Amino acid sequence: MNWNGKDAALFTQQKEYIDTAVVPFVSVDFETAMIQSAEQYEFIQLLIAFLEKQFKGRMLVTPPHSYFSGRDSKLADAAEWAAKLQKAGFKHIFFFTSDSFWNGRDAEIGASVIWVPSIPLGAMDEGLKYSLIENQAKQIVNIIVQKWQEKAL
Amino acid sequence: MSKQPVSRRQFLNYTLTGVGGFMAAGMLMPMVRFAVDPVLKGEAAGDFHPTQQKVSELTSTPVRVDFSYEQKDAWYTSEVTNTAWVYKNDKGEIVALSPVCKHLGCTVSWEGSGHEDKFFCPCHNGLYEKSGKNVPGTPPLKPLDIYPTAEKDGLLQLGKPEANNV
Repeated sequence: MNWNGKDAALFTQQKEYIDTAVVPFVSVDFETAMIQSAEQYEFIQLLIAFLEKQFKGRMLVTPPHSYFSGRDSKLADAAEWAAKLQKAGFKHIFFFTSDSFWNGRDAEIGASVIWVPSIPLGAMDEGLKYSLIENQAKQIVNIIVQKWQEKAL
Repeated sequence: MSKQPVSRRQFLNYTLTGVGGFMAAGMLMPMVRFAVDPVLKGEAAGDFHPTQQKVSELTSTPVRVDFSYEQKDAWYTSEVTNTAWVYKNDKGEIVALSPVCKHLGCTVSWEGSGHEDKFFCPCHNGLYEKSGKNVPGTPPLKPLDIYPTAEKDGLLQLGKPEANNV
């Protein structure tokens, strides 16, 4: 499900089936790291679009959480996202990011961090871009299915 | 130039017939066009998208066929990639099924997670027969949609998915 009116309406009707939330975490910088920040955002958005297509019926993709990289309360903000989503009834919460800051901080935040090193897609040919994203996404598909099975048992 | 004079009566007759004719045509033409429109539309209905799949290479085992085309979404034009599961049935006809689960729209895969001879949806364990028919007792309530197929230069072409009646 995407963050739009139609999907949100369907979500409220079919709540018991949709137990997974996906939040893109993107850092924003207007100085030296601007290009890098934009590339990471582009990559994460494409990756999530692919995953959403695969798992539309069980996964809600929220608007991205964007933050300035120097911000002090980054962890507290993330924990708030996790708490809010948990309260809304999501059993599986995934934060997708290319920012290495989040690497290995799952326990501190209370959600699964999926850290994917971004690939500069820049001027890449459409077909190549698609197959690249697809390969990355397939590995993540496995991670998600595994998480679903872990908690189901 | 003929020297025959045109009488006032004749002149008025000619001009009135001419102008009246134009006016009548102006009214009738759109009506006729509306009336025949459905007939003309029928010819342009073949909105098929080409794929890279060779028809001769299809077997009785479903294969994934990806195809992409441009889609306009308000002012945003994007390249859409769609997928179909394509195989030949017992009669040798090509069957192209949409991978979109009829429950909540996840993507199903052939023999996914070890479900032999079935389409499997990983989201809520939906199952479909090879024909696309939903297995009772699993969440989906309708069979998988089916693509109309066409062949051009030996390559498969797919239309718009339709409801499946199996």
